[in-house]
Order: sequence, then structure tokens, then C-alpha cells
Amino acid sequence: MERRKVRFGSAAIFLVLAAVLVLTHIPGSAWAQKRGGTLVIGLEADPGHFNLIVKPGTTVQVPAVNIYNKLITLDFDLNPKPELAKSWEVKDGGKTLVFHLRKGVKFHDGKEMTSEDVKFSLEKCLPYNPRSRVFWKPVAEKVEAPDKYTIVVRLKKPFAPLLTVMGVIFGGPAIYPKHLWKDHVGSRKAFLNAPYSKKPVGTGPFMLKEYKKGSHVRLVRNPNYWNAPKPYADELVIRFVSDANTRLIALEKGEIDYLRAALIPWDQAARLKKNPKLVVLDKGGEATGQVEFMLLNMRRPITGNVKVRQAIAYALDKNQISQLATGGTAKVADGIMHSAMKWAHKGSFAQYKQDLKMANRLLDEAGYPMRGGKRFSLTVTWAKGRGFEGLAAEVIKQQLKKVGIDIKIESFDRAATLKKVYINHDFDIMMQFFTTGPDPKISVTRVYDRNNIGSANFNNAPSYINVGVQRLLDAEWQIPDVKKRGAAWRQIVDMVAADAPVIPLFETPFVHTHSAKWADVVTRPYCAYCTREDAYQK
Amino acid sequence: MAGDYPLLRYSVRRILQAVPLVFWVIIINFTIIHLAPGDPAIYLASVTEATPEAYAELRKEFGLDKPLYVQMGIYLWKLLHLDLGYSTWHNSPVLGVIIDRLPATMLLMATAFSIASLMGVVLGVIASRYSYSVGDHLATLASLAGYSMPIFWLGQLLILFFALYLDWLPSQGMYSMRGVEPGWPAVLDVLKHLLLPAITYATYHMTLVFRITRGKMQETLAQDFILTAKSKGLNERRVLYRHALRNALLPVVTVIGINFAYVMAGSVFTETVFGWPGMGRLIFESITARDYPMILGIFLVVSMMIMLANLITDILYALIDPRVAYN
Amino acid sequence: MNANAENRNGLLRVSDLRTYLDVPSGVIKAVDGVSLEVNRKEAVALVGESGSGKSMTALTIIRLQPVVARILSGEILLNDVDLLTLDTASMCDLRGTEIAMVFQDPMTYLNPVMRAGAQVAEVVLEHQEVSKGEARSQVLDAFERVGIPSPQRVYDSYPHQLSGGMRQRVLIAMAISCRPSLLIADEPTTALDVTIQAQIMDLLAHLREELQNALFLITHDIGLVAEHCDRIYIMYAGQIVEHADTFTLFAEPKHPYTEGLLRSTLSPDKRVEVFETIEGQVPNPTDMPSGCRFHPRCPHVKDVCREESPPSLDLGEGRMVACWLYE
Repeated sequence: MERRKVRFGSAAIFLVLAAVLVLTHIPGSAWAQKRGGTLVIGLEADPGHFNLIVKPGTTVQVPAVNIYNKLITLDFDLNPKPELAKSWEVKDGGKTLVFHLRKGVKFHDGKEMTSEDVKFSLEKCLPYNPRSRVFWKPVAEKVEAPDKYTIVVRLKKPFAPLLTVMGVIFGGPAIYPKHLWKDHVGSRKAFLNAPYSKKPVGTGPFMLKEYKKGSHVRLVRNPNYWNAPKPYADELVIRFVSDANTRLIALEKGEIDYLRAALIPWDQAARLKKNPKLVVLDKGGEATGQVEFMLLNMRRPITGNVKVRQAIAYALDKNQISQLATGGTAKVADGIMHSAMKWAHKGSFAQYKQDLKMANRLLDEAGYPMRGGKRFSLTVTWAKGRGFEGLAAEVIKQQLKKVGIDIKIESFDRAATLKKVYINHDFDIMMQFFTTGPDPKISVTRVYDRNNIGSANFNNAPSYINVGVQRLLDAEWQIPDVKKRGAAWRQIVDMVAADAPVIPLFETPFVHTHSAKWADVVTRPYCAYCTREDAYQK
Repeated sequence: MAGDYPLLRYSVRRILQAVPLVFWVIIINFTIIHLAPGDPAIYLASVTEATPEAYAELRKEFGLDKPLYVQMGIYLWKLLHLDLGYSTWHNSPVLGVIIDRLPATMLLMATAFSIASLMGVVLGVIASRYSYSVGDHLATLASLAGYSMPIFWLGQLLILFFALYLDWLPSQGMYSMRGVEPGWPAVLDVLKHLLLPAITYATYHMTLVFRITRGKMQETLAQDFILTAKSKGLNERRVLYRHALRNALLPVVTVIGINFAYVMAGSVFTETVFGWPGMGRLIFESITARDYPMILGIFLVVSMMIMLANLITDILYALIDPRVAYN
Repeated sequence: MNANAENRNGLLRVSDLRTYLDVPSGVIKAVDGVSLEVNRKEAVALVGESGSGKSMTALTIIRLQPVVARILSGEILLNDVDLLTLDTASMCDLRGTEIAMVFQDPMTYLNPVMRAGAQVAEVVLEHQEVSKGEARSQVLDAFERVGIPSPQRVYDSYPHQLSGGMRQRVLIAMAISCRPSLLIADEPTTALDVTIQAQIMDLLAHLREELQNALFLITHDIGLVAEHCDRIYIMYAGQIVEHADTFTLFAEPKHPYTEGLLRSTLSPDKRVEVFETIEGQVPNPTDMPSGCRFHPRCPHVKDVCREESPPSLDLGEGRMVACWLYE
């Protein structure tokens, strides 16, 4: 918001308007933008079709998120915001959700969207969405449509993360027109074979105009969009470019206006920032919230000793690690989740400021005295493919040497590493990068939950068991009040930080870039799955 | 005349010989792909729901739960009905997806192939005429560089120079996304997009044709009948093109034909680097997505194209060299 | 030497011709100061072992010497025009029309991928302003003239479909199709059967009567020339060692090398390859012996032979010999 250039002669008017802008805080207010232009987004592969129901992969979502709407969306702080539901209530201690729908919303074919369509999408389509149903199936009981514009979701038990999950398209259902789909339900195949797989009809800001196989998808403005005057762009083109270098060149040359974070290597950030024709964004990764961790295996005698783990945490200079491993593009992490999750995040790990004296003392107390400059040896494991993890391991090796810990580094291909660590528990320290958003219940709990010690990837690899933590993990997701839930999570972070089964290192950088000719290309906390209805040409 | 019948007989014989080959190609393709590690169900399911039940469901849906020989039987039966299967990624009949992508590849390949073969032969003849001159040495050196340069690297080099630095040509794709009128401007737009990938694609092939043409021309020019041609009072150009080239072309044609397989492989790199919406990139994308029916379908079509190319090569060979069809 | 420049019968006059070849191992003095004459309608033979430089002499005359050859000195006058001073285009005009050549191996001197008739018609079309149909009938005439039994069939045949003798006839037809005044035949029968050899020699003699051309026959087989040639030049190691009319040469050879040649020819075992009766080997072309080049093999060698090359001695009546024995 603040960065937007507003060209008005009078300083007074500017100030007033700026104040209004800041107060309303709605991305893309109507008056500052003009319509027009073709926004071109780069994508790594041809999606093949636009059937979000059964194939919610990124390539399908990037176009589909502009064709369909969800009930709610998220802002950059991951708070739910209205989309097709203009408001909602949480009742019965979190067991009932009531959504009030917007009136007069039309599908691309002109038919009005009502609670019938929402009920249909939740009941008939969602069970076939392999991503969404993971969140819904265990908790949803039934969906009711008491009137044309009200939808009631009843849950078996309260599930606090549900609203957040509904705000991201891979978790929440898109709303499909019942009148078109009702004869194509019942199996994955039926959905896939429906004509609307390739000719999608939604309520979204853009409508499909042209699909050139292997080349691009061209969407045009939905003239009847409920959120008029959005979308601002006349056309939205999604271009398929498989080669990473070519994609970057196309961006720099202006053939592509936007590339999401996964498609831009971090090491390009500094160079792209110097290009006046491009804007390098830092927002948009909040919902994924990726953080790099060291996982310490508590089954091993040395790393099983809490004093050793704390000593390691004290011995590290995280600034230096971030600096050397990511070229300074990453922010040091101090919690077990991304700092963007403000309602739950706490920087409890900040207590471990580098303190070699303390580290040495802890190691002495742990019963590993220094002998000839060395106390013991540990192995750091990392999976080939993410070079920055290898770099980080090297830096850690140098830093731990100072307190007499001799580090050996080993690296295997990804599948072999995952098997060694998560299935066989055969490791001392593992470099691992975790998604921690959009809700900690979904992506943080798994690492600290005693019920998740076993043999599946990305489980509780440290084999961490803390009865206090466990009690909170079991309860927190049923607390409907976000403040209370947040407090529970802050307590969890404190306790985990004291035990240090993991050591967070840095929040992985999020580099994505759009042409300076455009603004508001990313207005949601998930760059890939963000609607482009706000994007406008400057 | 007398020579036409043997040629026809020869062609028919060659075509008949190709039939069992097609069958074996299908079987081998099928086996190789299914022996490769990696389960398509993993790619079909999303990361969030990697449960064994979900995999089983998908395997069943795509017939991946059946024994390999049953899968092969089903596949062959469907092939007899021109059904190449159903793409798991594109959610469409494989044949349809391939047919959608074929024209773009054909355009690129035909352009590149013509440029490469024509330029390669002409340059090869010129170089053989001026054997061991400075120009010949330079051309040979350049062709060696072109031959050993990886396609994707050359492609990126060309993109950097012509698209980014000089800003003369688009860097990728087949169409401009903004402000192109239909009709001639649209055709021109496609041609502009075609230029860099065609040159990239043609380079390797051209250097190959050049080197073989030059070598074979040198050999041919040392042969006795060239002396006869010269003693007849023919000028140099006639001797080069009418007598020497026609004889030197035989191995060149063979190499062009045999290299068709490499040409197809080259299309994977070229189309991937240049975002060209053709079969080459479809191969790349399908392998990445473990889209078995798609990969099988493409391999089949590509194998057929290669066999067709070899067939055409054989017939061309017989057309150029009468000794082939008669023996 | 018989240096009659005003001889009105003079057709070809070569004087002091030196053609050296640059090879990696040194310089081969293939033709080293050769002078000879061919008069109109006359049949002259150049006889020598292989490697003596006789073929190189012929190729230099028609100016088709290999690229590595350098002509150091000499004159080649054809109708008083020095061929060495002509530009390429004028030389092309003369080949086929004024001088034509028949080479030794009919297997390799015909273009394998062109029909026989077309190869002959090419000469006609190159040098005469005629239609294709007319060229064809001229070729068929020439075929009949050289005794090809079914001209139509041969016209449309490829070389590999013809016998060796038939191919040599085609080559001869090619050479005479524009009625040249000088026909150079370089070992025209070497590659053929003995029976066919005689036929071809008879044909050449017969054609000379009919077409009134001069024949310059190059051969290693002195026996072959006896009945067909008026005069004989004997060549050894790049030089002419003896010259006489046929009768005199056979009756009274002067040079020891000629004597040896005749002995080997007249011996009953005619087909033995090497001149066994002459002891020793043909000298290494890049390292010629000092003095007389024949001295290491000469039965009459004297001291002077080893030190100085013998002068060309004019023995009167057109006879010439280069030997110290006659000083």
C-alpha cells in the first residue's frame, strides 16, 4: 500500500487519501487503478486441464484460482477475509460455522451462485479433492443450506484451523456450479471426464478464452464479476515455460510479467533487484512459511542429552549461517514456525544467542570434557538437491569445532536421506526445511507430536516426547478463540525451545518478481495461488 | 523404364520388413518404461495425501495394479483400435494430445531440417572444393564447435544475445501474448518466434551434414570417374554438383536418416529451452510427470517417425544409387 | 631432336615438360624434361613401366594433373597454342572437342549413379548447341560406331549392369563423340580380358581410320603397340630414354632399357607382370639415382653413368637415345 505511487497535485488531497488508504487497508482500492492490459504469468508446465477438484497441483491452481472463488480468503497476516462469504459466525464452541453468502454473484454462464452450489461443492466435490479432504474428512459432519444465501457447516468436534485452511485454495473448496456438474459426480473419473474439466465455469474474475496446448492459457475479464471494478487487467495469460533460465530471461525481457517464488532461484535476487524494470517482492510466502531447521536425534546418547542440544544451540552464530548459506537473503528464525503467523509465533529460541562459554560449560556438565581440543563427533546429514543446506552444514561444522564438537557431513539423494532419517531414525543431526503454514496444526504439530513417531516421511524425527507439550498439542486445535489458541502455541514454543529437539536456523527466502509496469500482482499470503484480480497496470 | 520396377519392389519389401519391427518396438517400449523406477501413483496423488489407500485407488483406476503382461495385453488390444491410451496428466486421449502438439514440432523440425540439410550440403561442397584452405579450416573448426556444443547451451547463448542483449527476437514461446493482429502479422509473429529455436535445432545437424558432405566430397573428388567428367570438358560446377555430389550424397542421406532419432532427441532440448509448444517438450513434461500412457504414446509415435524416416532414407538411397534396388 | 616447328602435320608438341609432385616424403619428379610430338592422324605410343611418369605426362597434357602437381617448365603446344597458358574455361572447351582421353579402368572411370547414355550425352550437350533428343541420337550413333550391339539398351543402363568391355566401349564412345583431333588412351586395355584387349585395340585403330584422329597411346605393354603405332617413345623414371619409329625400335633397340623391355615382351610368358629380365627395381621416385637413372639396373654400366646424366643423342632419321653407350 505505502509503496504505491499516487499522482495527485495537491499534497492535502494526497494526505487525506493516504490516510483513507491506510485506514481501509483493502488491497487494490477502486479509484487508484485503471483497467486494461494483459498480465502474463509464467508457469513451468501445461496443466492439461483446469479440474481443481481432482488435481489440485500448482499448475492447475495457478489458472484455476482466477476462474473460481472460495468462500473466504486470507490476508498477509493469515487472517480470514471475505470472498464469496461476506461474513461468518463460529458457534457452539467451534462446532458450527455459519457463512452468509454475497447476493447476486453470477457464474460465467449467467446463473446465480447460491447456497445450493456451496453445499454441492462441499458435499459432492470436496471428497474427491485429495488435498482438501485431508482437512475436512476427519471433522466435517454435515452441510446445510437453510436459505438461498446461508450455509451452515456442522463439525464433529471443533477444528480451529478450518477457517485458515479454507482461505487457501488447496485446502478450501472452490465453488462449482451445481447445475453444470451435478451429472458428473460420483467418481474421480466422472469429474475428470466432465466437459468442465477443460471448459471451466466459475464465479472468478477471469473466464477462459483460449487454451493453446503446450503454449498458454488466455483468460479474459469476467464482465459481471461481483467484485467490480475488478479485475483490472483485460486479460490474464498463463504461459508455459519449462526451462528455468529461459523463464528468467522472458521475465527480464518483459515477455512474462510475473514469476512466483518457486521459479526464481535465490541467488538471482540481488541481480533482479538492480533491474529497474522489475519489482522484487518479499511478501507472499506467509502461508507456506518455510523455515530451515536442524533436527537432533534424541534416540542417540549424545544428542539425547538436553545439555548437549542446548550447548549446540548456544554455540551457533545463526546470523553467520544465514549469511553464508543464503547470501544474506534469509531472515534468522527464532521460533518453530514462520514469524508471519503472528497470532501463534513466539521467538523463544532467541535466548540462544551465541555464547561459547555457556556452550562449553553445558558440555562439561553433560559429561563430555574437552580432550585435546575435542569432545565428541557427530554427523550432520543433508539431502542432495538443496545446496544451501550443504553450505549451512559446512558453516555449522566450523562453528561447532570451537566448542570441541567434531562434525562429519554426509549427503545422499533425497529419497535415501528421507528413508535414513524418517524411516530408520539413523542420524545424529539432520538439515531439514519445513513448511510451517498456513496453520501450525497442519504443519508444525507433526514434528513434536509423540503420536507421530514412526515410519512416515516428515514425522517426529527427533522422537521428541514432552508430556506438557503433548497435552497442549492435543487441545489447542479445538480452541475456537484465536487469542487463547495463540497463547497455547506460545507456551508450546517456550517448552520446545527449552528442550531444543530442533534448532531453527532461518526463514527461507521468498523471492518473486513482477514487471514494474504492474502493481498489486501479489495480494495474498500465497504467491502461487493468489488471485490476480487486484493486479493493475501503472 | 526398366529401373522403376525394381525400385517399387524394393520399397514394398522395405515396408513389409518394417511391420514386425513396429511390434517389437511397442513391446520393448512398454517393458522399458514399466521397468523404470518411480510409481506414477505418487505423482498423481498430491503430497498432502500420500496415504497407501489413495495410491491403491489411483493404481486401480489406471490399471496399474494388474500384472505387467496383462497391462501389455490391454495396451496392445487398444492399439489395434488406434487407442493409444489416456493421459493421466492431461486427462485426454493420448493421441489427441500428441496431435495437438505435432504441428508445432513439424514446423520447427521441417524448418530446421531444411536449413540444416541444405546449408550443410552446400557448405560441405564448397569446403571440399577449397580443401585445406584457410576458409576450409575455419569452417571445419566452426563445425566441430557446433557439433560438440550442447543444444541447450547454444540455445541459451542465442537467447541471451539476440533476445536479451540485442532485443531483436522473442526469447521463447511460439506466439506473442500482447497486441498481435490476426492474419499476416500473426504469421510473422510465429516466424519471429521460430527463428532462434530453428537455428539452434539446425546447428548440430548442419555441422554433422557439413562434416560428412565435406569428407565424402573429398573422397569422391579423388575418384576416377571425376577425372572422366573433367576430361569431357565439363566446368567445375558441373563436375562438383552433377558428378561428385550425387555420389557423395549417399552417405550423407544415410547419416541424415540415421540421425533422425537424434533430431527427435534434439527437439526435446530445443523445445524445452525455447518453450516451444511441441512434442519435444511434451516428452519432457510427460517424463517429469511420469505420465506412462503419454510417454508410451509419444515413444510409439516417435519410433514410427524414426522408422518412417529410415524407410524414406532407404528408398531415397535406392533412388540415388541404382545399384541398391537392383541387387 | 626432331625439332621441326613448322611441320604442317604437327598436332601436339611437348617440350621440356617438368611435372613434379609434392608429397609428404619429398618431391617426386614424375615428368622430368619430357619432349615429344604427335602429328595429325598419327598413332604414337608412350611406353614405360608403371611409375615411369607416362600417365602423369598424359594428364599434364590435358591439364588434369593432381592438385599436388607443379608444372615447373615446358610447353604443350596443341595446334601451336600453348595449353599451359590457357585459362580454365578455354581449356574446358578444348577437352572433349580437341583432346579426349580414354582411361584404363572402365570399372571406375564411369559415374556409377548415372545412366551410361546420359554420361556420353553430357559431352555432346556441353560442347554442341543441340537438343536433348539430338544429343541422344548422336550418342546412339557413337555407340554403334564403337560396336555396341544394342545401343538403346546400353543407353539406359547403369554402368554396373554392363560388362567391362562394354564399359570401355562406352568410354571410347564418350571420347570420340565430338570427334577430337587427338585421342589419348591411357592403358585402355589393361583391365580387360585378353580377347577383349585385342578387340579394343582393333576398335581404336578402326576408329582412327574412320575419324582421322591422332592416337596417343600410353601403355606398359610394348607388344601391344607393335601393330598399331607409327612411332614409340620409351620412358623411364620420368624421362624419355629412346624414340624411334616402330619398325626400327623393334629391329634395333639402342637403349639397354628398351632391350630389356623387348626381351621381356618377346619371351613366351608374356603375361608376367614385372620386367623380370631387367634386374633390380624401379628407383625410389623421391630419391633418384645420380647420373643415368637406369644405371643401377643397367648391364652395361660405366663409371660416367653413375656420375652424369646422359645427353639426348640425335641419331638421325628421328631416332633419339639417352645413353652414354652412344656418346
